[in-house]
Amino acid sequence: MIAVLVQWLVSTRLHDLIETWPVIPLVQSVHILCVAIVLTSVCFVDLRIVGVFVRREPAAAVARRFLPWTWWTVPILLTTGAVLIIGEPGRELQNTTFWDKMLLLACALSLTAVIQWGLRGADPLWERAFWLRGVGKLLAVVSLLVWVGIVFAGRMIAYTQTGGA
Amino acid sequence: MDIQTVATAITESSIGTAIRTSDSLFPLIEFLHVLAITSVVGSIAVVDLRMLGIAWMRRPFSKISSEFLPYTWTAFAFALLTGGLLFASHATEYLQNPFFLAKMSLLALAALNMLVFHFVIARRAGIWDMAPRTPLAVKLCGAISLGAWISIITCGRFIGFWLDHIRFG
Repeated sequence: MIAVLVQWLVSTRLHDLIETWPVIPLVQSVHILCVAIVLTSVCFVDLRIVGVFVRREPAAAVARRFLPWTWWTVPILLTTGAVLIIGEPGRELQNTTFWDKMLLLACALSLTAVIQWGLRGADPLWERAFWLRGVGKLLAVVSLLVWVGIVFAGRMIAYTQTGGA
Repeated sequence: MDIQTVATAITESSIGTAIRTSDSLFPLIEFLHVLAITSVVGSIAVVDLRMLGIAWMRRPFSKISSEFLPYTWTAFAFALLTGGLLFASHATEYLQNPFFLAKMSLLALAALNMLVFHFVIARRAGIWDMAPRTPLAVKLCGAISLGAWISIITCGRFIGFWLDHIRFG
């Protein structure tokens, strides 16, 4: 089924357009810049929850400062990602590393949403009790690791491709 | 001793050879380089946007720069180290790659801009530290920095494509 999808994408006019030099490296550059914004904004919130960044400022305030940047950048990240898939469908869709990356991305975005949810209101969930603080920190550490994994998988896509198109 | 001789020596050094001949070292260092450089750009962009007067204007500039610049410098040290290792694996080729040369020039521009800001413009930071607007010179420095780093990422991405492009069109 994926092979059919790849074949169809390759036959589209959009594919030909994207394949024209230097569209792909340009779109990849925008994609990496978006990764930089999302990665940094999430990481500063995670680092604050863990306790190694601006400790005098409440974690909820740090989240309010940075997470809007994450959520506004994610659509651009997904759009540039989709453009790259249309340009080189085989490289991504017929590559297990790509699907690993998508799974990690789903985990990362869910974790960010849960972390943010636990920081809302005047009495944030992750600060209510000792054990809840622990849960918050654990989620933040997992979130940091998952984002590092996303960057790793993203770079490895280029080295693990099997599809031709 | 000219630069090509040095580049050849670097390429043929044990570190350069080890990275070039290994299947996994180059991709692994590349991943660390991407992680480092995205951290550099992400954290410096916070300071640049504050200088441009676009975001976080209610916080004093001095506070933002002291919060974020330590992260920028740490990440930059990693970017330099991993970048140096990648360079060592193909030093002679990189020196002939226009995007590599552009990236290094932009890095020099970013460094010069930072020095000018730090030693000339930021000396009077007390005046505009908490002002609702930043002076034009500060905005200009922020714009140059942000523009340079965005271009550095772009050139970095093109370095890898350049060889394929001239080889296969």
